[in-house]
Amino acid sequence: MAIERMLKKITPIFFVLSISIISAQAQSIDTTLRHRLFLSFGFNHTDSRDEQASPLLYYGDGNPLGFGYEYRGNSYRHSFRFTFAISAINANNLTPDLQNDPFGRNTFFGNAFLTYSYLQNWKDAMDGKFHLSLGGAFDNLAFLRIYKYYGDDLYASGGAPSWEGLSMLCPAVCADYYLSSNQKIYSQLSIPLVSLVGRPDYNLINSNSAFISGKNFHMVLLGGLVGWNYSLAFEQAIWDALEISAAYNSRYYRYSRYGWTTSVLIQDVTLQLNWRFEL
Amino acid sequence: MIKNAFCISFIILTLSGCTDLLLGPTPSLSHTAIFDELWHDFDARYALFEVHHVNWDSLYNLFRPHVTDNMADSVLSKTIDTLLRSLHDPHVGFSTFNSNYNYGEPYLDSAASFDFYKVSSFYLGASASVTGYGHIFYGFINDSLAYIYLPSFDESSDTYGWAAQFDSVLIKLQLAKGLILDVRSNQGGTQANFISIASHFFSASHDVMHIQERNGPKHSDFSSVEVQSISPVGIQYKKPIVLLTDRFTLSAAEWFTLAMKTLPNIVRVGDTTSGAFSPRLDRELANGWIYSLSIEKVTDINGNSFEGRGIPPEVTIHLPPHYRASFSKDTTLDKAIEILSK
Repeated sequence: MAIERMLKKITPIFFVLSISIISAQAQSIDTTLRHRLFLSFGFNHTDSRDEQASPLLYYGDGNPLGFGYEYRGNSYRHSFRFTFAISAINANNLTPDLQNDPFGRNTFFGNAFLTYSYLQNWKDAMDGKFHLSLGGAFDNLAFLRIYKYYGDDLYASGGAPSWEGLSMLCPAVCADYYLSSNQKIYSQLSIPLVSLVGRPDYNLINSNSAFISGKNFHMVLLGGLVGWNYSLAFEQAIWDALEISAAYNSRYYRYSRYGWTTSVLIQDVTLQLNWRFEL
Repeated sequence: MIKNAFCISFIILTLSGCTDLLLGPTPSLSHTAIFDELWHDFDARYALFEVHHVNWDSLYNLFRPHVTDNMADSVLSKTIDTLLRSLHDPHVGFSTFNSNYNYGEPYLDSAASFDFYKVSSFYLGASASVTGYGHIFYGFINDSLAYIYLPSFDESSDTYGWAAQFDSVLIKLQLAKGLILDVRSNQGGTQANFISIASHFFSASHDVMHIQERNGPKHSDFSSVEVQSISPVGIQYKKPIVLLTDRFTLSAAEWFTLAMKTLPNIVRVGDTTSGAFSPRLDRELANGWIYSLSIEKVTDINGNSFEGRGIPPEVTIHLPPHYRASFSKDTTLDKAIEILSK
């Protein structure tokens, strides 16, 4: 079902992309314009099982928005990206028992990502059509969940609010393959090696707790937190100053504290407009 | 065609298998698993076992043998109800799809809930007003005595920010020589609103209560003490005040009472408050049932806990369960008027 919903939603993205490709003039993906600002928008699907809050798997859809800056040198690239999404995700569809939930549960999820990555060209192959780059990413994530089991709105007391923040240092690998001079696909994977996990240590936050304090943060090495950040994208140069891309992104992380495990899988499909320029 | 269908099926099956692998298996819905889940969650999070002198392990040994997977839902819910009832905590609650269970026993030793209609009709008369989206009722008892009734410290998106209108009420009541502040039957609400209202009565920053969170697997694991302070904000009221409480004054309204108790210009009249100070955390079980539990210890600034017993008033007006006052008479309010009129 989730896959069907995802396919329905990404159809408009591929429609816009197809029109762009058809109308594209012969512009090159590789350009002397090294700076680019980009804006992305699309659809996401979040699956979250956060045992600190609930034994149930919560899942639902949202609309991520993002923007960022990238600098592409001859053999390296710096990239800053910020994306956020707010989703109303409800467990009512989860099990038949909850189909006629008399409580009218409301759940609000909001998440935001801030990522910096650096990639250095490492190997070329296939007459320069294929590039493999290595580097690292500093990936930051904030996730706010507010469970209102009795159908109250956000402002009412009661319920179970919680937050988590992750700062992850990740090695990254990126593969670029040029389909033509104005089209390429690239795939990037980063895996957290060392992470700072911020989470109210034992309880969920409540009205008396300091919202965020230093005691909520713990350093976790690979194994303590398992995750990835993966992108598969298609890029199309439209004009010299404009490039359009469609991307599938998958983020996953899982960690445990005091026997409670938090697992989150966020998949999104986005359309990205890149403005390329030189200073 | 067959090859493509096979490939698509393979991918879908692989992805569905991944959900369990990545996000953990669907929890068991068996009755024994549901009972164990609830018991363990209280064991890990509930903050007041020691305050209420409850041996949680022995309760498990008492109830668990009676739970079976083939018992009726209603029998399981009744078993859980009986288990939770032993905590004697108004902030503990339990709801199945058909029934709600609450544990506010203190309510049983007092007359029925306070009736503002009587105050409005027979004491405030034409001066009765309401503001703050229905959260602040006020008026004049007589030329020199003002009255404010706060039925709740909660809010919703429709009433968000109601406490900010307290300034305008104090301006209208500023000519009064004394104020009766009524939080009878106030069932609590948010910390922000209790602080916002209380800050109009403090002329300097003042520590009012101590808070410790349950933060470990042992029942005695608590965080270090967090001090709750209140600083003056907005229009200040420094004249004599009588604060009215009853057995239905609960939760954030008890924090308010705890804070106001530290002021020198206040007399507390009425009945002992309900005795539910810890913030309540709502939770859900794998079968969708909902429950709540207390997750903090709250004391006054001297470390005295009123959890489970409530804050006693300085002048007690106890109305027993079958008490019937005359149609137009509010005994507690009459006492407040008498005190402020001296």
